[in-house]
This record gives sequence, structure tokens and C-alpha cells, in this order.
Amino acid sequence: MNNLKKIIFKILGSNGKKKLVLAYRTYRSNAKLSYKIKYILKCIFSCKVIKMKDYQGLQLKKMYEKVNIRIDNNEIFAYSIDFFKILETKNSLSFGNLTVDYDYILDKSIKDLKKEYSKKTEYNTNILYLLDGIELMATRMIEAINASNIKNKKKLEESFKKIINGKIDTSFDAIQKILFYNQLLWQSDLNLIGIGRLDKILINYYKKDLKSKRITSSEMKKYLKSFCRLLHKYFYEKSGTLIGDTGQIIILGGTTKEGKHYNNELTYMIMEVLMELCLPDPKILLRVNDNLPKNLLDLSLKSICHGLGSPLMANDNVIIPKLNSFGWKDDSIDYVTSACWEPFLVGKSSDQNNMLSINYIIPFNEMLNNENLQNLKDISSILNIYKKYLDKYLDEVLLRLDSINFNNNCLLSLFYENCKLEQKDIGEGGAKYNNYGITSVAMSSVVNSIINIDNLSFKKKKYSLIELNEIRKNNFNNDDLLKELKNNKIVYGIDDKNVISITNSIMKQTNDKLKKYHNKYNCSVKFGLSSPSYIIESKATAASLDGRKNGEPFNVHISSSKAGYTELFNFAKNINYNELGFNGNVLDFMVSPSFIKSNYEKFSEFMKLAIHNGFFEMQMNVIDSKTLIEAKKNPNKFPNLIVRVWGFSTYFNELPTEYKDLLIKRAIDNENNGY
Amino acid sequence: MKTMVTNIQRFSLHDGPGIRTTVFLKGCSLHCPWCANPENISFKKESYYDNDNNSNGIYGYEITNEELYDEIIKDKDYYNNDGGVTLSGGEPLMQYNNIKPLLSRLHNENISVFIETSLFVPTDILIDAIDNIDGFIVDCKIIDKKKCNDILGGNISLYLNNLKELFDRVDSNKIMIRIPLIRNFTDDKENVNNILNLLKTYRPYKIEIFSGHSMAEKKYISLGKTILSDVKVNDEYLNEIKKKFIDNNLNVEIIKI
Repeated sequence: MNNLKKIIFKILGSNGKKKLVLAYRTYRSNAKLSYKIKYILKCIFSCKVIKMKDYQGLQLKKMYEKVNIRIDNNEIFAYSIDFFKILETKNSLSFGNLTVDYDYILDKSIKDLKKEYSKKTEYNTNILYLLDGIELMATRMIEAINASNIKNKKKLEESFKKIINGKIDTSFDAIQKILFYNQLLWQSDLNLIGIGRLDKILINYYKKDLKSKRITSSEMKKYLKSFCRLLHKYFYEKSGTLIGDTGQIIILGGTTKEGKHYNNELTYMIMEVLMELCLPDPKILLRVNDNLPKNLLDLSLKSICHGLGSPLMANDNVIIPKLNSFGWKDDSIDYVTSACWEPFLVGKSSDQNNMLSINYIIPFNEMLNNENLQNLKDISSILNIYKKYLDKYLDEVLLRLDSINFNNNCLLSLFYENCKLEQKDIGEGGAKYNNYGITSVAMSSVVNSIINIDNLSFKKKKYSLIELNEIRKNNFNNDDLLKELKNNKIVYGIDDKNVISITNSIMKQTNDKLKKYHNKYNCSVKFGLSSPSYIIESKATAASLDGRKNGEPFNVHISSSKAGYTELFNFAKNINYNELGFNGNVLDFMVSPSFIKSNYEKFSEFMKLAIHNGFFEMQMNVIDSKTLIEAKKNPNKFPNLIVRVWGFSTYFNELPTEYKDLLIKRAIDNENNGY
Repeated sequence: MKTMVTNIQRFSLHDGPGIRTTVFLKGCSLHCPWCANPENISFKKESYYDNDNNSNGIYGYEITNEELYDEIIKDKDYYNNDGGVTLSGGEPLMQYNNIKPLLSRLHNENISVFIETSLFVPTDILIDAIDNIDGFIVDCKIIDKKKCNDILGGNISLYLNNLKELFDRVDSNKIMIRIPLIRNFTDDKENVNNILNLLKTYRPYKIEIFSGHSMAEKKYISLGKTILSDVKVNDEYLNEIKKKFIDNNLNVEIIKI
């Protein structure tokens, strides 16, 4: 099937592939069949490819000339993306999975930008073509607004005129400008585009509005609601691997230079807005530290309990020191994340943080198949020999990284001051930082396999390692052994000394190997313990000695079906991320609604202590198995049930069956633990 | 010196204030028919069969105070000001002498120790324990002498004497009472009134009342025993009892198990 896919894509070329991807995104949705058929036919027959030109800026200008614009009359702002116009590109991979610096562009009109690029160079010529295109697009938006029945046409027209040649100074203008550039980014062959630190970006405009009595807080809330609804508008088209994986992440909170918690009125308002809208997207990441106000923690937990699955909490206590020591220093304090959770510097890094996934169990199984297993006598010898296989495997991963090329994108480059200074497109390394990021799966499978081998082969001498491996290769045709492997209580996620030590040993091995690598921009590669690929990668992975059969899902991020909450958080606290292991490390757990309702104050206190004690990142699903099982059986009864998947939330009904089943299993395991 | 335990449960939220680690000690001086921890009645190790996993196991293992300490200390960061350890079971005071040396070590770490007890224990053990325990969660089940003996296997005079010793020596702010309302066993009006009259005298800082339940069914099956059926008391009656206690200026809460 995979080979057939490759052949089809090769025949269709990269443009054809994009059409198919667009069609597929709707095909797999929960929409009505008639809608899907109509949409797919449109993808195949009505999609227009905007051909490459000598200057990409000209190509984008053509794109903006050709796109159909649709204004939603029921909204406050104007936002339109024509997904049926495809940008022809050289490579198949485009930049995405990042957030741009909207702040950087907010106080610059197109006229201002043209002045900045006035010196005659090839690079600037390209950008000037692009800016002409953006001006054309802004003009066309004005025309479309005036032809529509949207309210505040005059105000919108003024906003767009300021985008072209003026200074914005109101919340209304700022929000409209963010939306405009956001739509351009999606339109211009970029994907999974984040929103950034929205509370910080908008607060000064909002304060000015309040001071001059231009706006009330309830009006601002209406603006933000319209903003979020519009971002959510193209939910299917924007979705990546799964429906809901749009990358539209709003970062709230943070840490000030003095170490206090950064928050303002908008931090609370944005969270309230998303709760009231009850949408899975956009989603929130809340940066927390020891000084997180109780009422903000309470609001976050309320949002999570509402079933939104967000905010994900990123712990500045742990993350900022890591970013500092990586070399991001003064920039660290402003970090945002890529689409899911990978720390990222807006406006400064081009880091593509989910380029590949390490699959830790592959070299481990290879070791079992190829090594003289009589040489493996204890945990230490296993780790020593595994290092050899892991190093070789990581060499291959790094080679694959080297073969990846991203398309240039002058619109994205516009958001990077360094691109302008260096006169280099972002695809050529124009950003200040150009690191790579990779994720990982199956660390738990390796750790648990080692614990099981130690227990059954070395200590109890019940099975030789050769016997264990043979049974594993036969996909566990021995139920008794399978039971023993699965019933082991000392597992990844438990704060057992051995488990922690093994995990840290492998983290160090990975770190030390990756430390020697530099990409084509002479920058580094970072890694992390969470990944979107816990099912995708597992499907083609053979059985493992943690009791996992062929193709069964891997553990989800940092989690355990057997660990109590303090065990899991202690485990996460004791992981040594080394210099490079900060590319997302999410502790993921389930809580039943009845548990959190009955124990709210203690749970809230626990969260506060957990932040202080030091997890890296944390997300949870507040859901019970009964609801999930019922929703799987009768999806029509639960059209709005939202769940947390990897770094995003989505409607449960939109998930493929294997994701639903995994969530149900995890919910049952959690309830069996008493939570 | 080792203590026989069945489980060490971390992140316990219903066994005293704050976040606690509950240590379940094996062995009890009573044999309440509705016991939610039937594996903790016998002092000895017991085989069980786990139907769900089709596997055998043993309830009960011996643990040294050192090992107990190592496990308890793992959550020190979460005990904060009011959390800590709760000794439960079974009847934890029946192994008090084994565990006593651990308690001072925990106190040195500013970890509070609470105990869940039926008070059907030798009085001298209770008096010794009082000096080393920071909070008491005391069961109050059946007051009638004959019924207490026949149903629970307990001597009510011992209980009443111990209750008096406890309230004489310990601030009532450190004593909470738990009343299980078990249909046909403890829920009759006479028993409830007897308990009310008893607690009116002592005025513990808090009383928790809860209905019988069958959540321990799997444990009973695993031991080859039959769980009592039909032990639930309805919410209406629980609220009626709660009101009666409140009318007598007692602080009472219905808890859901």
C-alpha cells in the first residue's frame, strides 16, 4: 500500500500530491458524504496551481490576485483562505509547524516595509514583489468587504487601509491585522501556523482602548470570540495528520525578567472565550511558574475540566534554564512553541521541530536479533550493547535529516529581521537560529523491556533471553509470558530508581550522539520524549518485550497506566533532559470528571506543588470511559465531545478508531487506578 | 522488625488532610461483614486469584521500616503543610509496636502521621500511640453490646473506654469520626441515635457518614468469598441523618465512596 502511494504521488508530482492531501483531509472528516464527494471533486477538478516564477514574490502576488475571497457576514472581522489555489514549489516539504512574530509586523504598514527593503538587491526585489502582492490582497479584501453584508464595513476598510499605509493603534486593528497575515501564511504554502503570545501582543492596544473608552471588556471579548471562530473556520483544510491538528496554538502567560508570572486581563479573557465557545481549536498552552496566580490555575483547570483538553501547561521553571543553557539566553524568556509543545523562538528561529521521530525500540529489537544474547548478563551490559545499536540507528536518522530540504518562503522570511539583515531567505538559513527538532517514541518499550529481562531472565531465571526473544519474534505465541510481561508493576513512569536510571542512561546516550551533529546551517538537533507518532510509528514496529504485540500502540508521551499521579510526576521530575532533550516532554494523564469534581481543592494544590517540583510540560484528558464507549457506539449523541490527542484537541468523533480505542483503554486503566 | 502490609497507596485524598500516602497494614481485631478491605482482615498472607488477568497472587508482604520510609519519603514534596502518612488496614494499631520506630523518623522529616482505627485494640497500645500520632480517623459502627460482639466480633466496652481515653488526651480538632451506614446492620434508627448521643458528648471536629457499597466485590471474589449484597443506603436517608447531626451542632459531611 505504501509503495502504491509512493507511485501515485510520483506520477502526480508535488502539486498533485497537495491536491490529494487536501481531498483526503475532507474525506476522512465526519462531514456528510454528499459534502465530502462534492469537496473531493472540487479538489481534483477545480484546484488551480500557481506556477513558479523567477521571483517567488511574483508567484505569491499572482496567488493573491487569483484567490477567491469570501467574507463571513456573521463575523466581526474579515478572514478568507482559498485552499483550492496551490502554490507550485520545488520541494515537497514546506515550512510550517511554527509561530510567526505578529508583534514584529503589527506596527509596520506595507509602505513602511517597502521602505525597509528599498535598497536594490535580489533579495529585496523579491520581497518588494511580495509586498506588492500583499498590498493587492489588502485592496482586494477591502473590495470584498464592501461587496459583502458584513457589519462595520467602514471600520474594516479603515483597518485594511492602515495595513497598507498607516499606523494601527486599536485592538480591532491589531486583531484584524493578525488575521490578515495569518490568512496569507496559510495561503502561501505554509501550514500549522501558531498564534503566539496573544495576551502579550494585544495588551497595550487593549489598554489604550480602555483608557480612551473606545471599547469595553465585553466588546473585547466579542472581538476575541470572532477571532477564534474565524481561526477555527477552516478546521478540516488546516488539519495535518489528524483532524484537529492545525497547529493553531495560543501561548498565554510566561515569566517576567524578575521571575514573576506574566499575565494580564487578556490571559484570563482568552481562556474564558475558548471555554465559552467550546471549540477544540485554537488551543492554548499556558506557561506557568511558581508564581502562577491561584485564580489562573483554577481557570486553567476549569477549562480542562470543561473537556477542552487544554491548556497544556509548560513549566518555565524547567524550560527556561534549558533554553538558556542551549544558547538562547536572553531570548529564552520569550519562548513560544511549535504546533504541539516544542519550545521555539518566535521571529528568531526557523526550527522545524518535528522533522522525524526516533523509534527507540527498533535498535533494541535489532540488538536482540543480532547480538550474542549470552553476552547480556545484567542491565548494565544491556545498556552498553544497546548504545552501539542506538548510535548506528541515530546515524541513519541524522542522514535522513540531512536529506530534508524545505522550500524557500519569502512571506515567512518577512517576519524575520535576521533574514532581512542577512539578505537570506528562511529556507537558506536566514533566521537567527536554524536548528532541527525531532521527537521520539517507544522509550517506555525499551525501559520496560529491560526491566522485564532483568526480572525474568537474570533474577528469576525463568526464561533465557534467547527464549524471550524467540517468543517475541513469534508475536507472543505464549500467553503466560505475555501476561507476566504486562503484569510487571515496575514500569516506565514509576519513580523507581532503576527505571529512572535506565531512562536517563538512554537520554544521555541520545544526547551525546546528537551533540556531535550539525545541520547544513551549522546548527543543532534537539529531541524530546513526546511525539505525535505513538500509533503511526507503532503500526510497522514488531512486538517488544514490554508485552507489546506487533503493531500495537506505543506508550503516549510520558505516561503510565500503572503509575499513580505522584509517581508519574516524580518520575518526570527526575528525568535528565541533558542539553538537547528539551524538544517537548509532555506528561500526559487521564482524570475522571467525578474524581476531579470530588477532590478539586486537593487536586489544584497538587498541580501547584507539581509545578514547583518540576515537570517539563503537562496535559490531561478529563473524561470517563463510559462516555467514550458510548460516544464510539453512538457518535450522533456526542457531536461536541472534545478530547486531547497528542498536542491538540479535537472532536472524538473525528478520530480514527485506533485513537478512540486507545483513549478508551487509557480511561479504563485510569479508573481502575482509582482516579 | 517487619510489618505485614498489603498495599502502600500514594496520592490518597480521602484519608486525612492534604495529599497522603496510605499504608494498609494486614490484620484486624474485627471481622465486619461489609469490610471494604477483606484482604486486611487476616494477619497472615493469603492466596488470591485474579479473574480479570487469569493469574494468582498473594495478599500481604513483609516490609521493614527502612523500606517503608523509602517509599513514604518519595512524596514528601507533595505532603506540604497538611499532608503526610495515614496508617490504615485492617487495624493498624495491632502492629503498632513494629511500626513505632518509623513514626519518629517521619516526624523528624515533618511528615504528619494519621491513623484510621476502629479502636478495638488494647488500651495501653492506644495510649502509647497517642503520643506519636498527629490525627485520628475513628470508626463508629455499632454501639449495642451484643450486636457489636456478634456482628463485628468486638467488645464495645473496650471501644467506649478507648474513645474516652482518646478524647481525654487528644484535642478534638485532631479526631474525625467515620460512620458507615450499612443497610440492615448499622443503619437502624436505634443505632444511629446511640451514635449521635455518643458523639454529642465528645464533639469531634468532623464526622463523615457514607453508605455501604460493593466496590470491593472483586477482592471478595479473588479470596473465594461472597460480598454482602444490598448494603446501600439511599441518599434521602443519609441526608436525614446528616440533618439530625447538624441539628445537634455537629459538623458532618456525606462522603461518596
